[in-house]
Amino acid sequence: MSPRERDEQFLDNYLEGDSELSRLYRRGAEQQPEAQPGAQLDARIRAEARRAVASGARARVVHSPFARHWMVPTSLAAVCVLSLGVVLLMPEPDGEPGSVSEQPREAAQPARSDSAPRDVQGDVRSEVRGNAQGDASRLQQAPAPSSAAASVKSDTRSQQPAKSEEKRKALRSEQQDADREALQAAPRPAASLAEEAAAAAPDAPSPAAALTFRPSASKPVRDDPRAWLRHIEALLDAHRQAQASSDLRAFVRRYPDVPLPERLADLAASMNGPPP
Amino acid sequence: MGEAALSDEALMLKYRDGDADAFDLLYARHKDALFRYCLRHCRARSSAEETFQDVWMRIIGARRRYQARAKFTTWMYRIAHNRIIDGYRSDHSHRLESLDDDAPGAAPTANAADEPERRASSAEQALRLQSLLAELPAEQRDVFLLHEEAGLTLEAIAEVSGVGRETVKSRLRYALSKLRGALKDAP
Repeated sequence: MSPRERDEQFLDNYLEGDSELSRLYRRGAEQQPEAQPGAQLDARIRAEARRAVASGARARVVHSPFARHWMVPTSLAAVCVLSLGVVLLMPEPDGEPGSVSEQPREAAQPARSDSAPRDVQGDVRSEVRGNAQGDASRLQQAPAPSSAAASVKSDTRSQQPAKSEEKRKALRSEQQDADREALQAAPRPAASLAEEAAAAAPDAPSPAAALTFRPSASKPVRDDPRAWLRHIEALLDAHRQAQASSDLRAFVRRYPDVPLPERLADLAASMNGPPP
Repeated sequence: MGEAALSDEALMLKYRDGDADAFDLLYARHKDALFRYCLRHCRARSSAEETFQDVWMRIIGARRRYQARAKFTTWMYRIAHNRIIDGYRSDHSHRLESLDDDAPGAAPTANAADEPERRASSAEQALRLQSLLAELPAEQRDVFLLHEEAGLTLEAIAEVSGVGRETVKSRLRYALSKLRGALKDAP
């Protein structure tokens, strides 16, 4: 057996634990009590270990494996739920915040018979729209507050998918009640127009909804300075002085370079202080 | 099941999760072997204590990142090995020998003339072995100590040292050959 082979054999025996060298080494370790850490060193290290655990307790609560695992999914779920809730509760973009009213579109929709099929309702509505558009200017001049634009808009709205039908029904019934009251209180010209519309389309949504006064301009009206000015003048005609002033202030803020009609210029001058 | 029956890895996980008693048990299991490992490398007791404490501080500091992917002893001795290498590098009086595995290097010589009765007992031989061990190249000594003190296999030693298994085996073969030869040759 060559020296190399002897070394290999010795190495194999050594690795298997059968070695005089190993026994000798362990005996030497046992004979050296000083080859152990001192008691002070032991105490120092153990104290440090406990201190580290105590100081890390709070962090461990926050960053426990469970929390680490669920933190992201829980956050995402919360964000989704909140977003969905906000979207469902948010009124449809009808106007701008401020002086312009943000009525839900359902509130502005004319009352209609739920028993009528949808396609019939759509046909009838288009007829009513024609009537209502034609009457819009007259309605604006009527003593009773009116807004033909509301009924016009309601037609386009009806084409959008209904999100919460029950909610709409509830609002619709409320609207019908309000319309009836307004119709009864309205002077003759507005009421007669409503009757004309009803005669033209008996199954159509009640024209009374079209006669319901919308206290402020909707977004399309506000986007057209001339239409908005007409709307403000209609407010003045309806003796809605405060609303007219508010809208006029908003108008001047948005269109500072558009000249005002004499009547509205007087109103702007009479308002407290210069228009912003 | 009591903590005493738990594995090192389970104890370390318990310590990671805030059980300081688990650390005490773990420390008691390994402190003597680790201290000897440090002492054989550093020679001076003060230096060994400093290294030993630093290794445990690193273990304590790394507890949150600990995952039982490998044996605890492999992990712990890797920390110790790295710390000792750092010590060698910073200490100019100790140079890490560049080991040529094909060359066995100078066999450690025993100062046997000063110890006429060294063969009188196995106890003396054991002490002589310690002396011979200190004269081995650092890498060979490291491999020998990792097997003797930590009980690591060749594969685990290779993992701790960051070298291949065959390199570890070669180093160990040379170390054993030198130690055996020196003990045999001693008068």
